[in-house]
Amino acid sequence: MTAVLEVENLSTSYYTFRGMVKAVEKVSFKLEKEEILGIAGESGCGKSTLAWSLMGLVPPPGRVVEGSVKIDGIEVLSLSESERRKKILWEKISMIFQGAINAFNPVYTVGYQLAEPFIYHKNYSKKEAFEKVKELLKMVGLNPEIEKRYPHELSGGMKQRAVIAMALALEPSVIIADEPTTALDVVIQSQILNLMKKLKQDKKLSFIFITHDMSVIAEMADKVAIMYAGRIVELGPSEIIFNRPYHPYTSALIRSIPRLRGPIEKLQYIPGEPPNLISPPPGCKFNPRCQYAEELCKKEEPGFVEVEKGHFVRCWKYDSGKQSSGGAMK
Amino acid sequence: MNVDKKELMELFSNKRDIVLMVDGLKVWFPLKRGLSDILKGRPQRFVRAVDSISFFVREKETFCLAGESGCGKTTTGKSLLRLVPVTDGVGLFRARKETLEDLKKNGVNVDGEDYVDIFAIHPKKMKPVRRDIQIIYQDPYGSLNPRYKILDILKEPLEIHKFQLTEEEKLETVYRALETVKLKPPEDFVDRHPHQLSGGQRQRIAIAKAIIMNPKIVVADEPVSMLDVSIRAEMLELLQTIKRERGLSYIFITHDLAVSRYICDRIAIMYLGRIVEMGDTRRIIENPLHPYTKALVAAIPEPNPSNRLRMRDVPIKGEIPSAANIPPGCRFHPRCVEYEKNIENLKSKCPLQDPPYYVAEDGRLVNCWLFEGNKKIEKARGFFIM
Repeated sequence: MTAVLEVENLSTSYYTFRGMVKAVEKVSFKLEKEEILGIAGESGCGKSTLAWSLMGLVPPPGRVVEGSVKIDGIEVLSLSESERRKKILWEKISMIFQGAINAFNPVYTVGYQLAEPFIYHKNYSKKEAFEKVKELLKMVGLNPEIEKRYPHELSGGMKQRAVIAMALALEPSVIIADEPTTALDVVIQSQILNLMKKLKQDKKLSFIFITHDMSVIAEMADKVAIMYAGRIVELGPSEIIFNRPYHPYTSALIRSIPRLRGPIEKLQYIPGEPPNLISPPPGCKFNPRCQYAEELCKKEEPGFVEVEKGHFVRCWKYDSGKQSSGGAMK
Repeated sequence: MNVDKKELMELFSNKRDIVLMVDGLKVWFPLKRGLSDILKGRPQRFVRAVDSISFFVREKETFCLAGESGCGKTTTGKSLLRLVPVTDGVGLFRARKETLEDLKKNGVNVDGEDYVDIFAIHPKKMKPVRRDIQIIYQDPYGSLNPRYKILDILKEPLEIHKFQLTEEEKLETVYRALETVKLKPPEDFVDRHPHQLSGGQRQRIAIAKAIIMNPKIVVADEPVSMLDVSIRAEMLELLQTIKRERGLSYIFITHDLAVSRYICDRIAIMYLGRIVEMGDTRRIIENPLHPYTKALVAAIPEPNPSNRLRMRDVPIKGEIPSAANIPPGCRFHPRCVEYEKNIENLKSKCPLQDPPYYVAEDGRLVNCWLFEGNKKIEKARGFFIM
């Protein structure tokens, strides 16, 4: 397998009047072909900013401070704005935005908006472009006749399918889906998730799937990254993250999910609230809410350590910089 | 007074543990008629947001209204406070003595000795009842006035309903409410504005505001769905503690069946303005009977990573129709897979007649023709014998 996306030490900050907000800090991961990486975390943990950073669309006053993003081996961050627009966006990486339901321009037909990338990127004639649009709509399970309709004439689920079609238009190597089903009802959500699974298999797509809903992550992701206060605190294969998480935050998060089946155990919660990123706590950002916090956690930030193959954790319990705590390594 | 209501009142007088009994509630919003509609004599059309539902709430119970967006669950909650116009229905509510006296003073006809029909009161005279039925909204960012300090937000209900209290007593009540929702010490919070609080803290203020009048029923409209998972459980626990301490009842409105399984005693699953299945929460979620409930439960993702390897099979067709255009017969039949499978046997029923409620083995009610062999519920009376 080859990595289609390699992110290394990526940091993005917002320079606000009240101070610098380190929204994403030192994030590194790889996305292989035909893989879905789920990024989960609470609101304000930086998961959307991470997505925008990959696209080069961080809204001001934010900007990418350091790091490298390689898509198919091309370093994206060093490209100029116009080059990136021409060569990278849509063709190499595309995004299904949060609140995609409102992503359409209400005064153009859906078909026209789907045809645009073909016309501007591929120099297709209008006729050819509309032929492609029909194919696309069929692919996402919509009636091709829909191209003549305006966005307000479609239901939420149909619009979501159309937005997915748009993201797939130029067959990009990486598709970022930022909360693609959050605004939808469960029945439609399950249909959309099924569609994305099917497209992944048929078209051999690679996704980054961002959501706050751990159950949806479990439904989709092969690999999961848990974010907290701008950092990835744990990254590993789905089975490990859900069944034997290492990081105290991950395990508390998983124990806080209400379940539909099985015995009703008392739901766990994490006391306190996520930190304010203008003045984050020193040391490990999770230490004020962590039941295992020690002196060291309050002083220094742990490194991002590979504890077993493909499984990384950012916690002093597993960072051998400290005196070894062998038992916990199991 | 019609016979049904009399019968219902008799029943309600004897059921002392029931605090609210709603029968045949309808909330229909009229659609605009154009000039051509009037000239052509087309009938007035309605959005039937809530279309004839009946339920009851026991004392100290959490009753859940669940369903997808647009099913009428929020409208039902709002109609109990008369925040939306009620088209038809009876809502018997066992109010406090003071409330009934205040209502009588305002010239409201109180028909029972310890209860009142809240849908028969003129909306302008509802004020005393609103002490006893309170609401918590979903969005703590939109429900608190940004210009008010926390103290003013919490004092407002007291200024309106308990103006006879002295300033110190009001302050005392506010402090106690803040302590109840675990915002300690209260002195730290009273002088802040909502924007200085986090989402979780704001929702605590909304809860404090709802319980400060010591209500009998709190309508909680998706109180945790805007909150992060890690603090959601804490908020649910807080709601449970308050319920135990104050002995109140919740009407818990949610789209999240997994959450309702943890805190609700009984649940009503709604579809297009109608309750399709009602009964014990755990039994319904673990073993749904109505074809719609089956689809709803099958659609919910679970935190099990092996799910990613398979497609989720959700037994439902098509999309939800508009509430302005409800299909004839059983409103679920165009989407029902059971109907499609047994179309020969069912075509004389489902597309033509609205199904009645049947009592399933475990006592729950199912609004579906598939259960035709079971005991049928006749009129209001049968509804409330569960």
